[in-house]
Amino acid sequence: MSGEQGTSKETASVPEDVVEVVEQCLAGDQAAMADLVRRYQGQVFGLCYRMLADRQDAEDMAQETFVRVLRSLERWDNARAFEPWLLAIAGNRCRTLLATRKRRPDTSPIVADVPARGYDAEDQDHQALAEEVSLGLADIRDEYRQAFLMFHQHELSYGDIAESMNCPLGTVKTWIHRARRELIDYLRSRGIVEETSHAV
Amino acid sequence: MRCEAFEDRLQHLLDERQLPEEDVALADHAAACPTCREVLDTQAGLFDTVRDWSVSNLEVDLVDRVLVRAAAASASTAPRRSWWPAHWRSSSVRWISIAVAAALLAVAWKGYSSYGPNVALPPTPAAPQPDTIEPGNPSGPQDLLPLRSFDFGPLARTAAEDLGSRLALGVHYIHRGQAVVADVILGHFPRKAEEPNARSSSLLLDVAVGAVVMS
Repeated sequence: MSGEQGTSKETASVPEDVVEVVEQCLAGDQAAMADLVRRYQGQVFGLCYRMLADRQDAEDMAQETFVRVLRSLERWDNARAFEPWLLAIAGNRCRTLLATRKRRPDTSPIVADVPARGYDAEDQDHQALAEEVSLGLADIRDEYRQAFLMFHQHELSYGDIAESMNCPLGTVKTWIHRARRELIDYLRSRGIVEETSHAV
Repeated sequence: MRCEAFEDRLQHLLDERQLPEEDVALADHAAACPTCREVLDTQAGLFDTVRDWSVSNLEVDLVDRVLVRAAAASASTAPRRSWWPAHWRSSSVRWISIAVAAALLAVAWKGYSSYGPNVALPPTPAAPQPDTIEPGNPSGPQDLLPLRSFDFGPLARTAAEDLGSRLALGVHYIHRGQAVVADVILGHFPRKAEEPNARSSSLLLDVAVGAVVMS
């Protein structure tokens, strides 16, 4: 953990190169569009994948997110951080898909991302924890999951998350606390306990 | 420390992105409370795991796909070429024009009715019956107004006949000819299907067409 304060972190000023790339995109520059996608595709895919727990769906939603972003770039206020705005669009796309999925019978089992290589015991423990966290996350409410991932995975501040999810900061805080609590309870119920030494 | 306070402090430290397992107060309580100790042990490593996900192993490059789809999307949303002159495409100009046309229609009606202040207005022209139409004299709307019974001077009578026939012609277009005239024009009009007042806009436009025909 970085020790960075999540609640008091101000909205970061937008890097000039991002503003420049966005302006070039608005002018129709294809190279700038490619640069924008390449720069953020990992983060967008990461959020989509953890939201949806399905690689193919996550790729589709990441793609959909960038198409929407490029189409609505003029609506982005360049006084505000770009990443929360981008991730909010990705999160909303994912929640829409999840809502559609809930109306259909579930056909895609949640498969944790297991690398096709051998790894030692420590790696195996880490991998087991990652798989269990994936499964635990899939069980919590979509809004909680999105807020939780934006805070812990993408390290956005509460203020940025509240703004991008268009809800009060206190609500975001509550969602993240509940997500943590539910996730910890799930891991406890699965017997996933990390042995730590306590300074007693 | 009670268990509720432990929970609150744990959440606070996580909010501040600090390591709860290094906090002495939490550790003291965890040493005496097996449940909270389990919670503290469980969360250790959990958030590092989640943070590590931020570098996701995306196996495909989305750039080409996105650019192709973005190009297709922008092509499909490009503005349509309109038959109407550019100043007519502005909805405010369109409404003002319609209002002016409606005002002209009202003035024309007022003017027509003022020609015979003591005389009742002629009846609304009825549709000609097929058996009353004389061969070689197709029944135009101007033939339907019995203006000959009014006591006008020659000049006033001519003006009244002229205005009356124009009015009748306009009414004729509004009620009967609009399907032919207005729909041809409206077929080129860039009207959105989901526009809530599209229907009333169409009706007003029809009135304007009638007024233009009259003038």
